[in-house]
Amino acid sequence: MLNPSVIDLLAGVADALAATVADELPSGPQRDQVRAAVAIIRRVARALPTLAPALQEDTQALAAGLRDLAALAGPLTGAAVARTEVADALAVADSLPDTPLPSLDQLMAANLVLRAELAGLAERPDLTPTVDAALRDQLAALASREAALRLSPWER
Amino acid sequence: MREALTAWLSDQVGQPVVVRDLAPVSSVGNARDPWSFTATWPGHEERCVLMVQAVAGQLESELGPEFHTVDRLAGTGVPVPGALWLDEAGTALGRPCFVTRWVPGTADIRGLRNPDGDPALAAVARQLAAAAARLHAVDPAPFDHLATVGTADAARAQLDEWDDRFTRQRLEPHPELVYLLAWLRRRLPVARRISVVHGDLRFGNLLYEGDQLTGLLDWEMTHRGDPVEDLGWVYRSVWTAERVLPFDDFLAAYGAAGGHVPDPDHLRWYQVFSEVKHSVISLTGARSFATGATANLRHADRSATVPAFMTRALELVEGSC
Repeated sequence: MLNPSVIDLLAGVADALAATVADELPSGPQRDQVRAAVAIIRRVARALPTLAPALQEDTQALAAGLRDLAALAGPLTGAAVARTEVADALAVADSLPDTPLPSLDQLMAANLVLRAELAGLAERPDLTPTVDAALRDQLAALASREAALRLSPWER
Repeated sequence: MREALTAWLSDQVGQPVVVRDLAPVSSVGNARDPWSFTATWPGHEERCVLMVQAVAGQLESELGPEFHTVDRLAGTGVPVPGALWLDEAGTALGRPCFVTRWVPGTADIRGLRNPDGDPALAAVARQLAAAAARLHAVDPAPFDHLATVGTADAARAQLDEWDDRFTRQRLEPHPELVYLLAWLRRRLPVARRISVVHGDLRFGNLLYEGDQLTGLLDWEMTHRGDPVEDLGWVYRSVWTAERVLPFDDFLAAYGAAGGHVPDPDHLRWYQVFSEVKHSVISLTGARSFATGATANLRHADRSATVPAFMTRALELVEGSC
């Protein structure tokens, strides 16, 4: 079964809840709950087609960024996560986009290890201005990739 | 709820109280569950607002400091609702709560997005600046329910508090926030003076009628600290009044009312801090929902707000380098 697609299904559920429940409820916490649910479902439906590719791209970008920073700063400390975990996560990133793709759970786990490694670097007190600027660029790019998903409830 | 509230108020007043028109009020913040009602007892009728502490949400805060701050600001010229009764232990309704007098007005901020501006809201924004200046001029000494800080450690105290909350509330590493917290810690400013700080001073947390500011609300993050903190928060992009009154004009109105306009680096530190603080508030809401501590759906995807805050904070940091 491919139709209705998951995206169509979510969008339809949101429309139905908005029309038949939210619009019928009096102002108050119950209506607020339904309206919030409708908004979340709509945002998820909108972002769904891009979530998996975005996670892959993000994981690859984190791995490349960490290697660039290591080239500038010397070996990263690994204070936040074990070396082997980082090596495994980098291996997952390097395997992309080959088949078979890692599961979403594996990809998320690798991504979080790379983020933890980046966080470990971010709190190092001995960063040179060059490394600091490069790190800031990496972090701005990370925030930009996350914002591009447009999942924020304040997204207009 | 009505019976318990009636019993508690009757005990507070010392006479039988009748509670009517008790109804929940929609709230965006959700740190408190607000209700409106009218209380009558012999010779009196009072329209009131009841604030009940939320079970869990986006903010870890006690009711006592908020109530006592509002109470002690009465008569200072800072527009606050009259503080009436406090049940800090939560014995009356099962959760801590307090009651204030009802204040007329709306908190609607949609007019702030009007590309053509809004003269009435511009006037309210100027009054907000003047109210901030008055608040910051109030002697903080009598506010002994708030922690003491000195000019040299006010910024550090706030940074420590929100860094601690970040560590406890985050569900993942958030390297951008780790970086920004470290950036802030390397550049701690010294306060010019210690004031009572609102902690959430902005449109959305005030009431107005037409072109008149009628009340400052939502004091749950109040503390003694650097007054510049409120200035770093008040025009964040999420609730900025820039279209109705440019920030420079807001600062000029603040200065004209007796407030000290800070230098750009001092202000920028608190603007970066504000982005971090709001991020941690969002992460707290997200954790509260993820762990089942709250079923409030407004918190469910709050962590998705953080990237925009981080982008703004990193832009501010970039501008300082």
